[in-house]
Amino acid sequence: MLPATSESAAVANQLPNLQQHTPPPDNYGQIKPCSHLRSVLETKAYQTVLNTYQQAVAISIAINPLLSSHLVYQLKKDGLKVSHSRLDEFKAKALRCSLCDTSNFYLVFVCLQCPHVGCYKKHGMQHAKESGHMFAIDSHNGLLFCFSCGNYTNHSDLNRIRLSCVAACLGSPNGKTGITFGNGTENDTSFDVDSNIDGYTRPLGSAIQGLKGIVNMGSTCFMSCILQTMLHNPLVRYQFFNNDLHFFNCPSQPHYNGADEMIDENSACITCLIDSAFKDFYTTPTAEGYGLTNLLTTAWYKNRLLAGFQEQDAHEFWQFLLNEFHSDHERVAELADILLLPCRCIMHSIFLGELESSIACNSCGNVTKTVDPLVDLPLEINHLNENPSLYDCLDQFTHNELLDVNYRCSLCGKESKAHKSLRIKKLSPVLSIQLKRFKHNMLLDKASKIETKVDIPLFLNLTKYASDWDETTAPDAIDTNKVYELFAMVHHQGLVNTGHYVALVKNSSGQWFKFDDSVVSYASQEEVKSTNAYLLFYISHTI
Amino acid sequence: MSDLEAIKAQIQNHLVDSGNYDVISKQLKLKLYECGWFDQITQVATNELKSAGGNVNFDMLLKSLKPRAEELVPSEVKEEILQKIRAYLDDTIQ
Ligand SMILES: [Zn+2]
Ligand SMILES: [Zn+2]
Ligand SMILES: [Zn+2]
Ligand SMILES: [Zn+2]
Ligand SMILES: [Zn+2]
Ligand SMILES: [Zn+2]
Repeated sequence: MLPATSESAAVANQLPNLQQHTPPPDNYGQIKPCSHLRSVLETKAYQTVLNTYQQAVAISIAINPLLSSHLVYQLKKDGLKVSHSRLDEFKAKALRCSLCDTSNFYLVFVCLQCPHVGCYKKHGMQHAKESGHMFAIDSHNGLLFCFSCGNYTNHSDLNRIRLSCVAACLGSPNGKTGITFGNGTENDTSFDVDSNIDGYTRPLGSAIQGLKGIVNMGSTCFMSCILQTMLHNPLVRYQFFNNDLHFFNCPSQPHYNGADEMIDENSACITCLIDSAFKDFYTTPTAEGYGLTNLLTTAWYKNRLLAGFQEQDAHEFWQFLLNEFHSDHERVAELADILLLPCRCIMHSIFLGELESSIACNSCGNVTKTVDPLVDLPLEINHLNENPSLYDCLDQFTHNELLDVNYRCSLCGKESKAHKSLRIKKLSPVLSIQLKRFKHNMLLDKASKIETKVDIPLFLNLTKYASDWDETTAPDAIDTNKVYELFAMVHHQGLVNTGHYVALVKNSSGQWFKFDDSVVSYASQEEVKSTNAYLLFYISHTI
Repeated sequence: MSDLEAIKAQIQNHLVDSGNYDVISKQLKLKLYECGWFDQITQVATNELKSAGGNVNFDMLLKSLKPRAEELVPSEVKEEILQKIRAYLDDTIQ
């Protein structure tokens, strides 16, 4: 954990919960209209189609399991909130197959041309054939299905309706939800990547995914692996691609963008450096590895490097980056005269959660709770059973432990035994976990490494480690907002001081890649599962 | 509608209305995510689309993926969820 002041705890309290306001993104806008849809929309029926679509899509969003947890429904009459159970009742009734009277587990087709509702497997298709009603809205995703094509179809006008329905349900005032609908496809028809634009060089195919190695400059792998986890973190990437505040206000920009001006004590800026790394990774027309010269120079001025990173620990370097992101943001916000609270830097908006510790007095039972900022979870891997999994580590981290010193209770005033336990109070959009493999023996001044293999789930259910977990009434319930997806892992191989770091990163279609300095290669799921992890990066993934 | 179908429909509606469907489907989904099934299927689908070069519609893709997707579900996951459904049925039907 980073040393953080109580001030930053206060900041974290005011932060909007990014998770709650970030429904899963979709790329349905890229689905093109089929010939049938195009010809219908050219007729007088255009407005009717749009109106019907809007009604049906509103229902489909109401039942979408991915979105439902983000939604708040209000009764038109009095503006009271509608509970989720009432909503479930309503949707089960509204979406029943007209022919077999089942809700088919919410998987139904809502006809675009008449009030018919048909189950997926059978009656949806049957209705289309018998009545010639070719289009229906899929209740699961809100997309239009064309039975003549046997395919989903979409149109920019329909997509706009769908997105504004989602936005309206999520209660964002201007219909924009930031991260969600990143790739604007509204005017996508006019844009052609292959056309010749002056000064535009087409990026390499792999560059679109940011697949690029980093040249090793002598034991620099502890930096490279962390850099890869940042460059392939979707939320960090989003921030950098939309980082006008820093770009237009940081005086160091010319030092990182022209390369003519030297980086010195006063101009060294980690944010500018990472910004240029993003540009290089995602737009480069060459496959050449990324050079670390500027990073080394910048980090040296910032940290008197090599003095600061004696252990060459990847985790330490990760903490260093986060701290720099925050202080760069502070500096630039001040220059731009922008309000700093709540802090929107990468550390605060993406990585910072809250940890709650409870101390229960054994003589009167009084529980005292304190909340601390949580930048990452440091998990012990000692004293576990055989073949431990990450869940065992988390169990150990949160388990109710007897304090070995006596505790002075503020309620009963007695000095007595007490139990302490830790729970996550607020989960950040990205959860970073450190398995504590490195131990430093103070007496011998020697470091050692624990090689215990820990089983790493590809998706992590954190429901029971949260402070709002209801142990007595719903111990098995899964809070779908507390499920996290592993998207990056750092592995350390070899001995403490001479070892080597490698990063494993997953792309959006589920393919893993291995970044070993300048070499990038495919990795299988099995390879990831069998890798001995040191650092883990999980991203919120509502299921 | 046949008697069997009517009973099936009744059970299904009870399962959904009682909220048990949401609970069980959530557990199943989590298991499938945890074991990497979702990523596997995403990749199979992506590869299929690539190799078909645009000459495949949704119906065809679903038809070819469905049996493979069902096969790839680990047997422990299948058994665990079936157990839950059985327990639910035992509770509701006398
Ligand atoms: Zn039906
Ligand atoms: Zn119809
Ligand atoms: Zn069509
Ligand atoms: Zn800067
Ligand atoms: Zn900050
Ligand atoms: Zn007490």
